[in-house]
Amino acid sequence: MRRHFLVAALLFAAARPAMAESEARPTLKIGGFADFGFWATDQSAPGATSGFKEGQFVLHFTSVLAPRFSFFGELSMNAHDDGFTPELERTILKFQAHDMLALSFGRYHTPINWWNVAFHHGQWLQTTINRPDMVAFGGDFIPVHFVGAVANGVVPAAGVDLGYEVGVGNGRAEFPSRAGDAGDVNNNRAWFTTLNVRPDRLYPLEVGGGFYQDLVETAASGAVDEQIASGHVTWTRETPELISEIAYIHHEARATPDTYDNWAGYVQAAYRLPMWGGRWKPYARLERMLIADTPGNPDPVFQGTLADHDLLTTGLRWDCSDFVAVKGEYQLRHTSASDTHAMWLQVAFVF
Amino acid sequence: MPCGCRWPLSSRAADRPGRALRRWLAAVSLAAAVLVVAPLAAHASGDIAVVVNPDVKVEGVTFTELRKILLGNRQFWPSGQPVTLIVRAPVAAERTFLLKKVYDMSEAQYRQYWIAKVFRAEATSGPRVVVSNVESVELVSVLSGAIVLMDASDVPAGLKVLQVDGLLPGSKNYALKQVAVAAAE
Repeated sequence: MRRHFLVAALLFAAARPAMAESEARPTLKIGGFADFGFWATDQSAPGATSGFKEGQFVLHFTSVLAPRFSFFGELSMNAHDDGFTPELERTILKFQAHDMLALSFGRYHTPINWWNVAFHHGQWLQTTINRPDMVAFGGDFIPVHFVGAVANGVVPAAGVDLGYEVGVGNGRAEFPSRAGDAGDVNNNRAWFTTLNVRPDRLYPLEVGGGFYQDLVETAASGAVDEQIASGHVTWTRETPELISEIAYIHHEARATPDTYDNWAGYVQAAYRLPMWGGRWKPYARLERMLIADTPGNPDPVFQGTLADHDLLTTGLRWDCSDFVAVKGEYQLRHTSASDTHAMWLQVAFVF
Repeated sequence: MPCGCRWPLSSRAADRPGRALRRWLAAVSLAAAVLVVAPLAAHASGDIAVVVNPDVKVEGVTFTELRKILLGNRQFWPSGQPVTLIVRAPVAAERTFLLKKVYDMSEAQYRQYWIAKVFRAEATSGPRVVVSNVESVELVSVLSGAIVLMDASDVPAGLKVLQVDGLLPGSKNYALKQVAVAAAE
């Protein structure tokens, strides 16, 4: 009897710290997105082979640390020929003081592009399979990631909601597609500001724009001043869905008097058909990118990675369940040199 | 003794005019109650009430403000108190009303909306889901800053009901009428 009591007392003593610890620790919620697909192209160049394609495996973490403190994280696993590479896409510690002000620190998707912050890495969230080229994963045009601090909020005024964001961070890293995760490569902080308007009477219309400034280090021309101006108009009700964005990027080399002007934009339209349970959604998107690639004097930031092109995307999305979507997509890429045709099939889901 | 009234009465009632008169008055009162009160009751039961926790320092909202709150675009009451959303589970009349009248979304779109909102770090979680109005009442009573939509006839006395565009459920031009949604279907 005494032995049983001793064992019980020891178990209770051992359990108490664990109970206290589990109650003291913040709760963590995990969600995820994944996709799997097949693509085929009429190109036979290396790297353009057709076949099945493992998409991104994305985990999303949410934790409320205190009534106004929260943490958001996004981790992706990306398929490559030699395996998978993990990437910490976003990690944000946020203090929400009020609707009009939130302060946060971490690694973000740069909010000067609407698509970049509306869908992040959730392939299931976006209507199409492919993102617009101006904000492609691993692309150079818009700096997709931003490491730093951000203040944002929404101010109601005269029948509209005015949303704003202001941020300061490291800007582009040595590779233009990368953010300065481990520090600012040139000790010169980038900054941005955005403003969007949502009229009460025209729900869910959103009109907005942003401005971004950075000093970029390039191998070709050394330090280059970068200014980005962007704008968007979105109507996301799905009957119809209309998304349009434009971005202008101005580069100015400090070592030479050369300046470079680059443009990109797209218009996307989709419509969720009312028949068959409202599960079918045809869509189309037109894109254009204009890069300052004058022979002998190309843009030093986009040199060798971006070129003028037009892109037509059209497809059909079938939401076979509330959390699973099957998409089929055709793309025609037109450059001055050639036209490329590609077909995509994708199953994307949330879990 | 002949009856002077114009309503048919039994011979026994006619024999006791005082009692007959009382019965007649009672019948008239009952009829009046049926004619006047019943339509009001039916009106109220067709309305959706916006019920909040008693500590919410707000007496009314506009429909536009209500939409922003229920969409999670307003996450704080004017006093700075965080909003806690409570939503009925699918199939409930309140859920159908919420999606059609306020969100203007299908069930699938609603789910995608909240998944996206959390994924964008705009909210830490979606609304709390309850399976009955009894559960709605229990939660909205105890959760600070809570708000829920309920059939007005299910709101027990003592709960705080917000005006919408200056009107309470049962008013003629009240904005949250289930009848309007049903007719539109």
